[in-house]
Amino acid sequence: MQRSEALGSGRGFRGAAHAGLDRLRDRLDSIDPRYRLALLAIAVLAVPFVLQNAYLVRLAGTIGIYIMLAIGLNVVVGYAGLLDLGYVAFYAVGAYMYAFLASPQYGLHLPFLLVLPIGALIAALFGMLLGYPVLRLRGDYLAIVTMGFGEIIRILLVNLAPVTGGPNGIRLIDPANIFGLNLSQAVDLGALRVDSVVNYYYLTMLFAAGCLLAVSRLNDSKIGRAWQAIRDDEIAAQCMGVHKSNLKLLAFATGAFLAGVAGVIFASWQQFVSPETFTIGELITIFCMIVLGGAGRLRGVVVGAIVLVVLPEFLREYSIYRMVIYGAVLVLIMRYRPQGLLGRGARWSAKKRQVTPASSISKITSSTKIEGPPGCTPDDVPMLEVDNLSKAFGGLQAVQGLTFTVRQGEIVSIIGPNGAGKTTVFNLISGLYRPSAGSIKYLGRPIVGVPPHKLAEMGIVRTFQNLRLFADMTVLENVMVGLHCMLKAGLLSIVLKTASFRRDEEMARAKAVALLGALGHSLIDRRDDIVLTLTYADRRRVEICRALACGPRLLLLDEPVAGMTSAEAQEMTSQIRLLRDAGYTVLLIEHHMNVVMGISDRIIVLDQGAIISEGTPEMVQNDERVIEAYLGRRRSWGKAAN
Amino acid sequence: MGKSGQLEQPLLRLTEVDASYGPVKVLQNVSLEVGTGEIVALLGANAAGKSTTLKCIMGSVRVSCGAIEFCGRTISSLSTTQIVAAGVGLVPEGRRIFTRLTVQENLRLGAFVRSDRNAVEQDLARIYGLFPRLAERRDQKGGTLSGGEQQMLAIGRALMSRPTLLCLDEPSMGLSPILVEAVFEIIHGIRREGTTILIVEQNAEMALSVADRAYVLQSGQIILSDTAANLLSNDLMRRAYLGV
Amino acid sequence: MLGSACCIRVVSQQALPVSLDEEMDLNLALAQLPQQFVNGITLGCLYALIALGYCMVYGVLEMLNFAHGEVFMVGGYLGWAIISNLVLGVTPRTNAVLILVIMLLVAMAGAGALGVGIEWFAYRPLRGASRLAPLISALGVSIFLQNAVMLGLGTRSKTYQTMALIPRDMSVSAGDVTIAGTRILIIVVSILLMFALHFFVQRTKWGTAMRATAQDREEASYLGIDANRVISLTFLIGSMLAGAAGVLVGLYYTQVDFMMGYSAGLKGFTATVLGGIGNVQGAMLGGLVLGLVEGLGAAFISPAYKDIIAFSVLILVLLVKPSGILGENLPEKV
Repeated sequence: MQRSEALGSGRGFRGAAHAGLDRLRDRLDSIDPRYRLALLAIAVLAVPFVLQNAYLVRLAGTIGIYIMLAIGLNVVVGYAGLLDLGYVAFYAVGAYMYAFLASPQYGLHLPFLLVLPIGALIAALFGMLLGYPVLRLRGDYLAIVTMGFGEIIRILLVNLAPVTGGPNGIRLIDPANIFGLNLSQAVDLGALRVDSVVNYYYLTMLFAAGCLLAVSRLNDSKIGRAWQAIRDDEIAAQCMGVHKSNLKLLAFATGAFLAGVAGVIFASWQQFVSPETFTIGELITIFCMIVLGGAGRLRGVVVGAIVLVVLPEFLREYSIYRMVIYGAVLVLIMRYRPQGLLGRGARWSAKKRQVTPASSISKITSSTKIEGPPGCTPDDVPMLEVDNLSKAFGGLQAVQGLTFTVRQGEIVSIIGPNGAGKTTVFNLISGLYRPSAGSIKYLGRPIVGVPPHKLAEMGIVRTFQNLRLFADMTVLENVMVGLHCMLKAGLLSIVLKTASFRRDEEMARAKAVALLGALGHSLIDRRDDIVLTLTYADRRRVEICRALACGPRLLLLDEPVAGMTSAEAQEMTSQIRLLRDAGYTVLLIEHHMNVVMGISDRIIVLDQGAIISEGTPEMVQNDERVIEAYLGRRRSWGKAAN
Repeated sequence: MGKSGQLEQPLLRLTEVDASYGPVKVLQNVSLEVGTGEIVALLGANAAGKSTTLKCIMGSVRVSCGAIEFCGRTISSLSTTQIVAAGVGLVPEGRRIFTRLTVQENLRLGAFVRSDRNAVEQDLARIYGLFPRLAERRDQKGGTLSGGEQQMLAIGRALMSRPTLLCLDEPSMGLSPILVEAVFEIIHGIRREGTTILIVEQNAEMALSVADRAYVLQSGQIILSDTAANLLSNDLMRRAYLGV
Repeated sequence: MLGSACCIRVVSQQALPVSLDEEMDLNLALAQLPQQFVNGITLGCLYALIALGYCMVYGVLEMLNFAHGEVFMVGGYLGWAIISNLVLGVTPRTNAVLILVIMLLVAMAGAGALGVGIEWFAYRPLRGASRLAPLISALGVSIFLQNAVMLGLGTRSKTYQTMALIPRDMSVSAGDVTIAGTRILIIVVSILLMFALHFFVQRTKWGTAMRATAQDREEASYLGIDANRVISLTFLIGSMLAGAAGVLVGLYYTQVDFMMGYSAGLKGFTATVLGGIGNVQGAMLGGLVLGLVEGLGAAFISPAYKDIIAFSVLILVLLVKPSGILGENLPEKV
């Protein structure tokens, strides 16, 4: 916001427009949610009576269809960050399913309410079918493959004439018939005559509202948080126990499901489907809706849908110039407001997004007690046994022949000069790299080849040297991603917002706040701030909280005090000690020698990928090889001056 | 240049420079000077702000406050391209050579800002003379070189722009002791040919053995500055590094 | 159509038609195999020219330039403007060569300037914004150009008087295979252009700078390489190749229309990905493979399914090799 104000002072109209849109957004934000909902409901109900024009009501109904499509695509693109350009194919699947099952084409006339779930589920199935093989692909490869898939479906619709009716499509599709009410006929309510188009308007709005509700609930659950985590930082998400592939598949399926719903409703409304509807142009329109409104947020998506349905209608007056203006407007909006109309600008300025209810805070005692790790571990097994571990990248031997053991309840530090291979060791233990040779055992179990999310669930949790927080999420949300594996609520109970789900969420929130409180009381006050607005030290603390939320037994801390002042570092040191006392085993990489020497039970010194010294702090400190590795070998001055 | 006080007309002067990444302040009030013909070392532990200081000099991180002068001219508002053209060269941390380009292409790119073709060819020959290993491998892809050879290539490439001031970011990082020694030998040779050098190092002993003077950074602030000889015998150094 | 906001209409199957229209039995198809092979190579050269633009831009900016197909289309129209103004009645052969050269040069210059302008206006201000923003901006440019051309020049396709320049009887025969003059022209011009590009990228100072910038923009800047100039140059060259492709496609199908950018762009994009994004040789290879697959697919299965065959091959290749035929598998940095 600071940015837009700065713009506003300097640049006349553009600045004013920015400020205006920001004000509008903030004003919308400031309305009480319940109040906002009621207002919205009344407005939606009143539309047909205000417009009094079949064409316009029809247009309004179209908005409903697009809202469903756009929030579905938003789940895939906005939440999970998957560039799915084959999305309209699922819309087509839904529409053609209804056309097949409720038209003279095959003589089937199944009821609307039966076909609706069938169509949506089959679309979701297609989503999974497409999603499964393409998950291995990176962003833009995924885009082109999904685009190809969309084209394949469309060409099949055109060319498989005996099955799909070919380019002419399928006609005479049954209208929706809900509990004996035929929506294609006007309903007489005494004085009030409700036209067919108004019926369908209400139908699309009803389902659009339902989809919005379902998606917003998903978004506020462990699933939504995991999606966002994957989008922000896939690697960190995996290390917090998020099963990347499953969640991406779920996003594909959810998006396709919503498109399927939209398709069935669309077919029953038009009573006609043809391949003409399911083009890449349609996809682009839906895409623009997401981005234009302010990517990722549901409200923005709704605004985008409205703007992009209504805008061309306004431009209709300029008939032939319509599309030229439309194209130019897209470019200009992106150029001058790349975050979308109601989106937020620079990340740093983002303030509280959602306010945690005070109820979940009040339960927090101000004690800074740290809870111990969950479950009990067999006493006599070492926490971690690393044997002859090596890793090469191409010709470069990053670590070679490492052998060491970490006993339960120890704090062991790995130190060594830059480039010694310390972080590689962490990447190997946490499953991000596969070793070239050697074995790793965790509580007696070999873990080489176990994926990172599984390791996190088993209790090996790490932090990252260069801070891999989920940048667009709040402090609390970041910590709650760590709780992913603990939360058991299923898809259905989330969408239905069952009591058990609400209890689960409440518990998670309380636990997250408690963790924040244990590591730094100031974090509780900033729980609803976007993490990027925190200081470096606070971000480090949040990352450790997030790791603790995972329920680790072995905690891998990669430079936990980097970038902290010495006072902050001291505080962190004592907190790490408290963690050990609470029962956690800690493996630590750190450059800050005061910290390392102060808290380590044992120290392992790496240089050039190999262990050059191991022992208590005193032993290591006085080891000539260590001093040499750190300060360099002292050379004769005569030689240097030569 | 026995004292670390004000130099008459330093080649490079940073005056009370502040820099931040977003809300995080990484440099505070950093002032330092490098005189013509000197080797100056900038020391400090990880994340002390050493690399950021170099990035500020190169113009890839903007200073939020303070000024940077080179040859008496303020460069803190220039683009990186202009700064390179003005005569500042950088050997970046971690041997960031272009792994998909050949050795020769890497070296030629070093002379990108120059238009004196004949002199460039001469310099190329000179670099190959300095690093015979590179001459042997001139048509190999940079990625196939060993760590030490990559460091040689990075240094050679920076020299190709004929910099007045050469900045080196952790040239010893990840190299074996013998290679480190070789690298510092080369740095010494470069200075003898008249190039001023600013070297950022974690390997303090090694850096101090070639440097005339040094500054020590801690948490974005300069906490010590003295001649290399004085710092070598200073116990504070050892404490800052090993916490003894 | 429900969506009143629909922006790009579906493109007819015939936007880039192969010369076969009727289905034929297998024997006939086999007999025509060499001929189809030549057809495939011709198509492949065109795809490769278009793919190079996508590929180079992706290499430097990691962005999909969705407006690239429209630059190609504008190139086709520029060629049309030249050919229909300069060809008056019967022309002596010497003039034909001159006209062809002028067409190519004008189209390349115009398309190049357009490409640079698009980057400067629609993409450069968005650097650092989310990945979706330039994508939408590119779509906007694409819609704008399509409709601007339609408004200015009408919806009907424009005829290229190819025959006046390259008579129908001008062809080379070898056994059963006859290669028409236009095909020879396309293959020769494409190969020349690709060779020139290869020379530029591999041998010149700016070409090396371009490769360096693609690999590490920050590091390149420390050598004094101005990323903005490299990016402009990339757009210039990529767009020039697309402009030339536009002229060649016009000559080949003897017509251009304002919708032709979409399907050509899609194919060029597919070819890029097939070969491995950001890899110049990959883009050339991807174009050829795609052209051949389409040509042979159209002959052996059905012209109606040639796109399905093309996309299926793409999907299969990516499933086996997720970064394309020549793409490097870069490990993710932790």
